[in-house]
Amino acid sequence: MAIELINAEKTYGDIYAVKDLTMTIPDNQITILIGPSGCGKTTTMKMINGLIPKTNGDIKINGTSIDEWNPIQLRRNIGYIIQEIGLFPHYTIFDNIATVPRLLHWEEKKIRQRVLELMDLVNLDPDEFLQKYPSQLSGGQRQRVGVARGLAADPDIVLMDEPFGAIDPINREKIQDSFLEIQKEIQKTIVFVTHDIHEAIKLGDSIAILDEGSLVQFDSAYNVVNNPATPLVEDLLGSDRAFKGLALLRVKDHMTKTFTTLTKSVSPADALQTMKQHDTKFAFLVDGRNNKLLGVVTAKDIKKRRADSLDKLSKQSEYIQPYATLLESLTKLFSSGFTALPVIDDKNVLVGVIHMQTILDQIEEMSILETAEDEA
Amino acid sequence: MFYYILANSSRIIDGLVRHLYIIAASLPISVTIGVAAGILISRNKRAERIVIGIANILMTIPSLALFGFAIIIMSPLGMGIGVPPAIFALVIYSFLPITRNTVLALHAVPSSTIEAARGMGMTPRQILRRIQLPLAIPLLMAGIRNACVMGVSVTTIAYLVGAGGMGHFIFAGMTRTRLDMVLAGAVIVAVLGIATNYLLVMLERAVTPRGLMLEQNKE
Amino acid sequence: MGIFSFMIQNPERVMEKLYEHIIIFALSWVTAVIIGLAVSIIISRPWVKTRVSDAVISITSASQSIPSIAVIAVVFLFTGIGMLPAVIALFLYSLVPIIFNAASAFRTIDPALKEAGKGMGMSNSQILWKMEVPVILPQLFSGVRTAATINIGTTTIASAVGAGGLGDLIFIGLRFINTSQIFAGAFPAAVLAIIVDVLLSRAEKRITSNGILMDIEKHSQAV
Ligand SMILES: Nc1ncnc2c1ncn2[C@@H]1O[C@H](COP(=O)(O)OP(=O)(O)OP(=O)(O)O)[C@@H](O)[C@H]1O
Ligand SMILES: [Mg+2]
Repeated sequence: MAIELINAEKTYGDIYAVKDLTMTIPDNQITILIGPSGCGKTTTMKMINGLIPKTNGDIKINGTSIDEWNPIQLRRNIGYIIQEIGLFPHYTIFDNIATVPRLLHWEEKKIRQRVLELMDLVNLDPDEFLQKYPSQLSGGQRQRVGVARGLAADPDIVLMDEPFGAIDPINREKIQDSFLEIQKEIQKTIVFVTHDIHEAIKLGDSIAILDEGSLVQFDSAYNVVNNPATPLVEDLLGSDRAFKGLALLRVKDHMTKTFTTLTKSVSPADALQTMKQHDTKFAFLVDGRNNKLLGVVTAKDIKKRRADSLDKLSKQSEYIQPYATLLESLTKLFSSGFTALPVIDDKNVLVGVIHMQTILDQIEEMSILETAEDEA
Repeated sequence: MFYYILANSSRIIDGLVRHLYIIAASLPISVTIGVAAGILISRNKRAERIVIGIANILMTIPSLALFGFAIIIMSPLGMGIGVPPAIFALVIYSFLPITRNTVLALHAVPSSTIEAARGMGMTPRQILRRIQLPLAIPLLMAGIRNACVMGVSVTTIAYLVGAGGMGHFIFAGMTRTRLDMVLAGAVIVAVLGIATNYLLVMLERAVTPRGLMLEQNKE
Repeated sequence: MGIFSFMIQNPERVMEKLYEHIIIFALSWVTAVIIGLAVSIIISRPWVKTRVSDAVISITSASQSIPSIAVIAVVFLFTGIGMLPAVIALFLYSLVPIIFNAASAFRTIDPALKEAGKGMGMSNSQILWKMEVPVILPQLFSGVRTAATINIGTTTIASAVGAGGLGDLIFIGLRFINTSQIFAGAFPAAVLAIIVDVLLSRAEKRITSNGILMDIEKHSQAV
């Protein structure tokens, strides 16, 4: 379902909240709206689902002007996750998520199944949370319920107004990763508001930058990072643009699939032998049946500690997910002190390894690109 | 006093029954009118200001005076004395605070909650029934509770317009300087007031949605 | 026009009853404000056991649902008829909302505020008058205003124990079903109640710090 904004405007008295906004929001992609507070992001979203009547211009959903849509039907077909979360305090988490499916008279069995799916998506334990009330949840947990609620009826279009704003950084990265993974499958048309340029670059297929109600730049994330249209956009990106560029690159595209794994049954001596053969100083301990990551074993530890099984020698390892960015990997590498990170999918299966050197090479490549541009 | 109560138990029970009858007859009327009016005027800022202004003024009228007005108004209908003017006055006195509380309760629902409901495609009716009214219950019930407690008090005075009730023991006791009679009346009315309040607090807790109760406890 | 006839024909009598009414109201209400505030302050001091203030708050909370006439009747039993029982009963009855509101408000004061005061070297009495009382002013005023409105209304009933006041006109009017006489009692009583309430709300706005008023406004928008 395509969204087209054609000279759309919203005025309050003689103040423009949104001014002459023309953009076609691509289907099945994530479009980011970003800009300073008060620049009209929320207003744009609310004009799309008719919560705020536009003053001028037109907005077409699927080729039909929103003036011709029945606003109630329109909104039931557009998922909306509001900035203030707005959970219903008298509904349980289950009932909150089930709101729109119930408005659409889904069967109770189908609703239940859908709710469980969504809880999994937003990384909340159904047994623990479904029967709780919003007041018993933390801000971040509430926000995740808000996201689940917005996606509940499987709408083609989803409007998300700073959906991850209240979630702590660690969970935010995780939820961003799962969100991207899911989007890969469900391919919704998503309009996503954020204040956070990292989030914008990581999630956005394209990024629209608004300032005082007007569109300043609307382009692919790559082009926005590499060709900021105005000083405002440059400011937004900050001085470390090359590093930000790392946020455009995903782990899954840069990881290596050749790595050394060991199972618990291997003796330490054999393990050392294997590592020598593969010319590596470390190996990953995995479950032999399903390749799930159990830990990391280093040659140094085996030599030094002389234990009789790998189990006792292995250490917990930092890890990263395939949809995470190289920027996130770099941060984790620095904090862990390793030169490589295991990449695991959401079922803990080891799928690859990302090396520090790969990332450093990428930075170099991008800096060259940047200087070349500056010279041109 | 206990002696008086024992010796006159049947009269006291009659008085109590009459007392409760007057409250029970007027309350459903004032709750219905009050809540309906509250919902209606909550949609219009101006109507709301006017009605709440009137409510605030009417509430300052001494209850005794209100009975006077009730008699004046009801006399042409041939119902100037007894239970009808008492019910009339009680309805007037209690429906406005209920209206006021209804309006306040509906407005107390956070605008983000309503926005979320609208954004999900609920119709205005669905928003009212599924979101606003359930969330308004605590304040609404508090309004009804106040109306009932006030009703106990006002009905005592209704004796003066010939409506009977527990006021008889106090007022007639005073004129006859029957001190045990006055005390019995006063104690029973006081207990009735406290009991009414207590029972309605319990009812309020029972009908408040659990999620809301948790939220309030947290604060 | 007919409804005003008693007032027009008997202005001195109405004025006299209004005067009595104001005296009864003022005597009972002013003492209730002073004593009520004093009691609330005392029970909220750290050296008073929480059990005591708990008890006072629950008692005043429950007492708010006792009909005023019951209080008048009980006081009448001890003192007989006249202005005194009315003043005593109204004093007691006004005390209830004042103590309830003020004492509950003292409780909700953020302990950090008092700590901050101590840290800055304020004495206990400075903390009380410069920090605690200004913060609870809105609730204090709400109790004081409720007490005033109830008091003026209840004073009309107090004429049942021979206290005088505008209630006299209403009682006699009721007995003879004299519309304009009922009105001559009811109208000034209602106007008096409204005027006092407006004056108190003005005073509240003037005395209460702007910061606290803005806080309240913000909160009421937020909920
Ligand atoms: N009801 C209104 N009346 C007047 N002006 C309004 C109204 N609603 C929004 N505005 C103004 O319109 C502009 C855009 O508001 P909007 O809520 O869209 O900003 P935003 O980009 O979502 O900001 P934030 O990042 O803080 O959420 C702001 O300057 C705001 O003050
Ligand atoms: Mg916004």
